[in-house]
Amino acid sequence: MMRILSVLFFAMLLLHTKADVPFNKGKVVGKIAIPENVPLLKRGSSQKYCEEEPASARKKQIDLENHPNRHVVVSFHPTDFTPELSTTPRAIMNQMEKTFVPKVLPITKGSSVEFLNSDTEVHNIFSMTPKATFNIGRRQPGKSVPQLIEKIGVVDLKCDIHCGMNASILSLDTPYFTKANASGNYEVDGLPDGNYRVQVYHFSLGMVEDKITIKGGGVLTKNLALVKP
Amino acid sequence: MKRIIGLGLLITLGFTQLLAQEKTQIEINGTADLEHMVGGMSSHYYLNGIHKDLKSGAVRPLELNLLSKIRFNPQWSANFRLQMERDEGLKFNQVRLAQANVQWAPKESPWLFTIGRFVAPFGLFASQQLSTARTFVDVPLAYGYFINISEQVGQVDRLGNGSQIPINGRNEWGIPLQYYNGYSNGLKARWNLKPGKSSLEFALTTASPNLPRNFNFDPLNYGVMARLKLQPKYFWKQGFSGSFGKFLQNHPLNEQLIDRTGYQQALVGTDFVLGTGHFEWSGELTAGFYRAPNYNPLSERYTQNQNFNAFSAWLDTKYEFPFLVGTYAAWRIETLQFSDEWDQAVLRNSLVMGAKIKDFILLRSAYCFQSVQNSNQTSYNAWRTTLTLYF
Repeated sequence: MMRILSVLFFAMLLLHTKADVPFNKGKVVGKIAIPENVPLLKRGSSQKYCEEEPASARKKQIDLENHPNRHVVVSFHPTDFTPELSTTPRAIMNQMEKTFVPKVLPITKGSSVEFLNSDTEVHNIFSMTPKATFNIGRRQPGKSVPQLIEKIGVVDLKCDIHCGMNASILSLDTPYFTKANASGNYEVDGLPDGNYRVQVYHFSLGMVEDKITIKGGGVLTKNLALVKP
Repeated sequence: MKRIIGLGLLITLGFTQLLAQEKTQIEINGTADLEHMVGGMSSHYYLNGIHKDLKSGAVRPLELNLLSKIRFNPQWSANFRLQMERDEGLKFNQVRLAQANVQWAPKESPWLFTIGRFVAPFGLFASQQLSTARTFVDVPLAYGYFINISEQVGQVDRLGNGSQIPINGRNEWGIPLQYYNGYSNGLKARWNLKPGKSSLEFALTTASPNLPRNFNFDPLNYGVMARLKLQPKYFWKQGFSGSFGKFLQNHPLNEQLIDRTGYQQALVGTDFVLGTGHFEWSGELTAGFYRAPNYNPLSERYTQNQNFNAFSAWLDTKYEFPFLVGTYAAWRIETLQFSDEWDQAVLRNSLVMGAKIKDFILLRSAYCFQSVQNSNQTSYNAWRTTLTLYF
């Protein structure tokens, strides 16, 4: 008798839990409009007024990879349930040709970021962002150093050795995020029914926010526009 | 001032068309430095960076900079630096267009060309023009200590502190081995021999790199400079520099000279940066060879051109505290030596503590123990603290 009651109790518990996490899952597609001539630098990014250097072929390729249109992260933050977070696998912030690649690295809070030096000289990485301050020192080429990111929000990175080397880690409290492609198109799948705050982050343009409600699965379209500050 | 405004207007008009292009981007940056200083009994701006009237302790603005980089397209850009600083370390009223140049980076090319007023391709420190790029408050002796050679009267024994020669209402003190702001006028080319491994820069300029007032073009003056940068190992950068130039300035005092091209300076130097973990070592050796007339202020006559040699060396050791992000401590030991004692040798030890309080606030406090040959051991010491705000 006790065994039957226990099974019933756990079955009820399971049903109750399922009621909290919406069953239907939807998909959001859209386009992020990016203004023309977006600067690569953040406003007030305290650059050291770098001397220009002739760019190598590899550097030009990296600059294409780091094109301002590729710095856009779209994330959906549920407002009526708490999503389960798992750490972001293979979160790598690379340093190549005195440039951080990618310019923006989105991760879930609590993930460990591997800082990899793929250059032929030493680099350092430091962050002065409150609650995420660190200085990992000068590292030799080929060496990677893990750094746990526990803060939610933007973590600004700089290399203290090379002028103009900067990037951001965007630490998120949601697993529902993606990077828009070079045309600004994005797609996020597997969004449970509910209300969401939509956040768009761009390295030099900052944040734009909106709201969206997912109901009954299906595909929704959400277009947003970034503006120059 | 009128010249600066005129030049600014000319540049603005000249680039109106380029600015009208759709892809033009303008980046604006700025720095502001406030300084607290206390100096020894013999303090002098030209010797330890502290004006004698402020040696007992004072707070003054040190420097104000407005910087602009204009990117017309991936090939063409322009750089400007409008600088305001204290006149001989006292009155905050000196305004100058410290940098104004146009750069051209041809497509698919390892070359970069610059015309205008640019960072002189000599030495390690010249590229650290802004306080935000410097570890210490003071510049090294080779850049900031005024020696007994003047760009107007040549070599004079005990110039400034012994022989007093008024020029434009001020006593002449000579000039350092290299201009402390590190700028020159002319044409510069940079060739990336092997990206990330080696590069070569050379420049044709309007004067040798020691001349501070090198805005004026004098057909008798010219300078050539070259700098080779190597990276033998990932943790080691090495530079080799050389320059030759003339620095005579027109002045009634030197009218009696038959050979006005007699003021010549040749500089050779090597520098390095080593870095590992939270440590960094950097240093520079410079040798200056002058051909200049010796001037006797009593007889107001020149003797024949003579050779004068000077040598400088500095070594920095810097440690960043990993447990207190943004803070560091550093020690610099440096010296300035002269052949045949035509000036007095200097030895300086500097200690500094620095802290990046915020991403835009830098605080540094440095104490210099400076001894000058044949003088009181502590009279040139200096304690300087700066607060730098930048964006």
